[in-house]
Amino acid sequence: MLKRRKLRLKIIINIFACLFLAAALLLTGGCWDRREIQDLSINTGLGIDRIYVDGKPQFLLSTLTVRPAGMQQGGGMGSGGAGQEDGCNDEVISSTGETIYDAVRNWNLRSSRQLYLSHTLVLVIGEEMAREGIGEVLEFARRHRDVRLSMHVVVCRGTARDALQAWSEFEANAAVEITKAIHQNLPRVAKAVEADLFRVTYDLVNPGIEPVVSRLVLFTPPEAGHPARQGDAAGSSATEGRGAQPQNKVYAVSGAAVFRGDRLVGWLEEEESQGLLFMTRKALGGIIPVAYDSRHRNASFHFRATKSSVKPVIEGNQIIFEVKVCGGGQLLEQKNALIDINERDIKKLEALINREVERRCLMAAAKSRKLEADVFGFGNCIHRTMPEYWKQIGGRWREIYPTVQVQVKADFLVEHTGLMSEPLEFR
Amino acid sequence: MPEHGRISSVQLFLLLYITEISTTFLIIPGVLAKEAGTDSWLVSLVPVTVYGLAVALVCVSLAGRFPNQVFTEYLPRVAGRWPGKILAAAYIFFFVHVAAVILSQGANYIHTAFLRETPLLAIELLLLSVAVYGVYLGIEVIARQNTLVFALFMFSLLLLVTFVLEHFSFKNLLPVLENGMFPVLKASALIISWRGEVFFILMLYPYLNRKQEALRTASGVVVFSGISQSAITLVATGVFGAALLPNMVFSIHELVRYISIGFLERMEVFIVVIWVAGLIVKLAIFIHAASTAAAHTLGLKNYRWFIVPATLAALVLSETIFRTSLQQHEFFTGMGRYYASIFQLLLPGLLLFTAVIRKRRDRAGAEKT
Amino acid sequence: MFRLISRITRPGKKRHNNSTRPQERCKVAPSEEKRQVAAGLEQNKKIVHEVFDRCADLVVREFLIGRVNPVRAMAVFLDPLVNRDLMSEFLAHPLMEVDRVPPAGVTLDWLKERVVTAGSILEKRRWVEAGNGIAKGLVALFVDGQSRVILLDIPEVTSRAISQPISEQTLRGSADAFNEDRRTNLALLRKRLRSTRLAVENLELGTVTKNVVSIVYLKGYADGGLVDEVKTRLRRIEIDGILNSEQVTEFIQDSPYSLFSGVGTTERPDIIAANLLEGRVGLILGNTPYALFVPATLGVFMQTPDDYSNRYWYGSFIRLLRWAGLFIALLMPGFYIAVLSFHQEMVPTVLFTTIMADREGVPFPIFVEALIMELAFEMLREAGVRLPRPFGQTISIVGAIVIGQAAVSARLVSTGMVVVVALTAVASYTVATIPLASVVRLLRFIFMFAGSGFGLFGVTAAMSLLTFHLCALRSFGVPYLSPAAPLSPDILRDTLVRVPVWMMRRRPRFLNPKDPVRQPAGHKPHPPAGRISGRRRKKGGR
Repeated sequence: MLKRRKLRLKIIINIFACLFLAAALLLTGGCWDRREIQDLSINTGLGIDRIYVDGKPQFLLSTLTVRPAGMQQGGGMGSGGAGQEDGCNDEVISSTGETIYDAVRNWNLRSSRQLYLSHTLVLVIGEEMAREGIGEVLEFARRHRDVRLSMHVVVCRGTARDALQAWSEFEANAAVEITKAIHQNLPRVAKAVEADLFRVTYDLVNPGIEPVVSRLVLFTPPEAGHPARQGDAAGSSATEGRGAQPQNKVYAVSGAAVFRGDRLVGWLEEEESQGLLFMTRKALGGIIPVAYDSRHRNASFHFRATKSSVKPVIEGNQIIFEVKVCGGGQLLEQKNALIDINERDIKKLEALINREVERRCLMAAAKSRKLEADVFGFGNCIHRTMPEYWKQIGGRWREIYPTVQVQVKADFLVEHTGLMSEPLEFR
Repeated sequence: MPEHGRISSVQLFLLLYITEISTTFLIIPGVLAKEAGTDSWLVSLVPVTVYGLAVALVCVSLAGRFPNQVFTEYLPRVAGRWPGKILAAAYIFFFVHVAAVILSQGANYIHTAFLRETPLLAIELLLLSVAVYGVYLGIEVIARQNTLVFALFMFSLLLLVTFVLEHFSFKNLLPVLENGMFPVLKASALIISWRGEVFFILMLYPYLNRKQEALRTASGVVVFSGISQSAITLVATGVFGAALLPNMVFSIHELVRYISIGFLERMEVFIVVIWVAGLIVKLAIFIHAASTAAAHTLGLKNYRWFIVPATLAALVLSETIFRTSLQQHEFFTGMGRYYASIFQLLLPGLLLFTAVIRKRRDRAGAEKT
Repeated sequence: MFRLISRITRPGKKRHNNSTRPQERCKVAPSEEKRQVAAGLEQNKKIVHEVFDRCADLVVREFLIGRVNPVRAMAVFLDPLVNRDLMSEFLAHPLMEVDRVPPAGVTLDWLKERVVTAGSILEKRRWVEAGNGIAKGLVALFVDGQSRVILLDIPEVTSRAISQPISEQTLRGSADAFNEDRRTNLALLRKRLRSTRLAVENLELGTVTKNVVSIVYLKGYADGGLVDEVKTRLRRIEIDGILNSEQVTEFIQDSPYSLFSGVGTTERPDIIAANLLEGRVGLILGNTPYALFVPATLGVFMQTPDDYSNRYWYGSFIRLLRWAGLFIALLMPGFYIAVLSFHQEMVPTVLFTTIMADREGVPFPIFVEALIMELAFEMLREAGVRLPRPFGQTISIVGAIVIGQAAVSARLVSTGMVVVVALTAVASYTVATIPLASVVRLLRFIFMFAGSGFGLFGVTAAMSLLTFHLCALRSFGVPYLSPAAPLSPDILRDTLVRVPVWMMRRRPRFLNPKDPVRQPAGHKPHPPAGRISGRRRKKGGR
């Protein structure tokens, strides 16, 4: 009886000890990794630049931080960020450091919250940084455990810090605007490329393909009454660039930035990037204006889905790539009732469309040859289809690439003509 | 008779399958891509399966000669008293060692990818305490729990593959057999030790309901896990490409991370949750084997006395074997490749040979139910 | 400490083989037990007043039987338990109108066979039995000169009428439920199982309450070993009072410390009947409307009769919804805490922004907030059970305003937390049966602790512990998680979804029924063959 009572006492003491320890462990002191939401900051955009401090190269890290509605802004009202729409106050905070991670931690010198990159949508790289080489940036992004692989990478002319401060037309957040613009581009305009972190790393690491990245262009909006221009004290400056504050500029995503290795070597303009998209099967929709029986473009063809195939042909020492692009679409606009719905006119229209497409593709190919960067992945194509040949030439692909020939054959079909069949005849 | 639990053939199949796949599916594509490139998916399919089938055949034949005894029980009978005991001790150490390796790898993964500030010891204790509870309850409970884990595992794997398919591109898998079969064979040496975990059937044999189906089940496990590993590798290579995979420490982790459909993003925590459940089962199996082996080597009936020592040994070992991830890496790509095959194929093969020669067999007859 | 934990969590391990111990020990002195009914009436009267001293409701009614040389007799009964009108009809009238006495004199056999018209009659010799009989509500008839006593059953109706079930309402099922009278309960059951297969075995529980429990099962369907085990466990119960079925449950369970009940309980006779048809054994008690059935698996606690009254598509959908509700009720708060404390990357950005704004100014960490809200809700729920009806409205308003509105405005809790708690509460109400719902409510807190400690890993570890425990639980030998854990195709027939009746051809395998086949093949309904429908019947049925 006594023994049982002693055992029972022991059990009770044990239970209490366990409970106390468990409670102490869980409730006090925090559990190592537990982060309260109020200790985090949401950064939707990350910008990396190269600046020189006292002659030494350093990284300038800028983050586009979201300040959710309901949060009081500590301090200065009108400065810092432009007066944004209701809902969110975005702010760009920047810091410097000798390496990127150094800059990340230095960010906390001036903020009370942790730099939290899990919600980063876009990485903006300044032109100077890109020309120097983005390898370090990508390594940082890939090793960091919070960064998403699907983060978009863009390059801007000027500094990323300015780019992040620009005015966004629709979205509350500039990074969301950039991302959505890129997403909208491919199926609607097809004049810019889309590159996420994974894609860029893939292109960098794989031999036979060079990275391309979207280009971000900043400009002062031409409309004088545009809200972005209202905050500008100088007011009258209608010129882009100098004089205008970063927050008085707007974005456009157009064209592409071409890299050789990890260095920026040049740009692809709008039509050239469209050619690139055609040849890599990424153009999902867009407009081809054609000139039908006139000197100026007077008809538009809207293409929907495009397919392309690349075939390498080796003739002696010359490598020729035969690219076939085909697709379908509709005629959406024409002037002066020139094009009638009969076979002859449509065939002529299709020939014009094909010629225009081929022209754009060849422009892209020429530019990439000039920049000596194989953005199409032609080398990769050889690697896949002719592995033995690639073994011979793969090491020297960068030198060989400018000498390849590209032949493009386009084959588009006018599937229908919108809601009207006969053109409007003015009588 | 070690214990009164009984496992059906289906449960055995699922148990061996999860024991093998749960920790390996995370890292296999990255490990193989360095050696085999675009042909990594062939590695799991052909050469390693052959090894696994060999292990299955040897182990089932050996276990079948002693249907009611656990492996370490009949070791002294086959190999002689003292060599047998020494071998049994070696196997106990092997089980504990592997448990420690798994534990440290698992805790390392969780630590690296998620809980950066939590000390490794806390994570390991968490995993171990759950596993130990399972071991205490017995093999039958582990097998039943495993059924649920398997269902969850398969479901999430299928979801993962479905969601990731939009990024899949066949081009990443070309060219096929660029450098011939030799890299494939070389790469297979890296993962044979995991496929050979079928050898556990040596320790689980007495618990089987229908022992005549053991060989079928074991070979089924080998083939099925080969197919699933190959499929996972295929998908990972198709999405990421063979050039990028070697850079990723945890390739499937990255794969899940890449999924972004609508609002579903950063779902890798779910994968890890399932992986943790599988890891717990695997730990439970190993500790159970270690305690049972220890119990029988020392002649005791109740394996439960040895749970705590085995667990503590595994815990201590896991803290001390690998100080840095570099050491871990060197172990797995160096001598560690062949370390397990000694215990899985070599020793049972020798023992089978000895048993046949010395005509050692348990003629006690029909299995006691 | 290990032993302590093992003691708490040990599931149905084999216990020491206790042979059945005699009941009612040291209650009645042995000499007392053997005391016979005295032959003389005066002696009996004295003993009656001795045994039933200070019982003001005891009635001793004396008669004279026969006109010539009347024999004295007395009827002793407890007034509240006996129906006076029927008593006079069955006992007093016949006895007092006896004209001629047989030549052998007034014997009990003659009284039993010729005079007393009551339905059920027992004849007893020992005083203990007579006294117990009177205490149970029987009428004891003592005849002068006879050393035995006749006990008659003329009960008064003391329970409510057959009414709707209190806690297991259905939309489309039958609405009669068990009440507190065991006979009525048996009647409701027998009404549904009108076969000679239905076996009813009675046992008495509790030395003071003397509650009769009827073990019901279908001969040839239930496993014989199961029935024997049930009887063994019931006989082992040694206690003074059994007042409700939960006490019986606690005595006969496999694992006494587990949170999960291994014995099913229900108020509805159709559920008992269905379970008996599957091969289970039922226990019907008096004084409680809840009947028990064993063995019980987890699936049993998630079934309602509504699944079977509706079309199987809808029934399956509702059942899946219920399972989802179970998981939501269990895991939602823990998941919310874990994700927001550890895995913030999983939250979509827009939602995260909103939550962040939402939580500005809330002083508590998420875990404490969740705990406060959950506890407040539990208190509200408990208060709602007990309140008289006029106050029910007030409480709901108070709950809505105080918790929903004021607490959020005062920044004590965040809106997101209110939503989560409300969702959890709604989900916990979809869990079909009360035992499981209570368990879920308790376990929720453990998952909250685990989630706040280690994030989703903590939740996973806790879930693993829970499933280990469930996998090891047995209910009368049947694994608790059948048909999932020892996997069997039954899981698709009646656990996760409900297939049409013509597909349920076998009884559940895990119950080990003696006769496993319920219906033969070929029962799928089809239109008649021939020119009307154009469909030909396949040869040989299905």
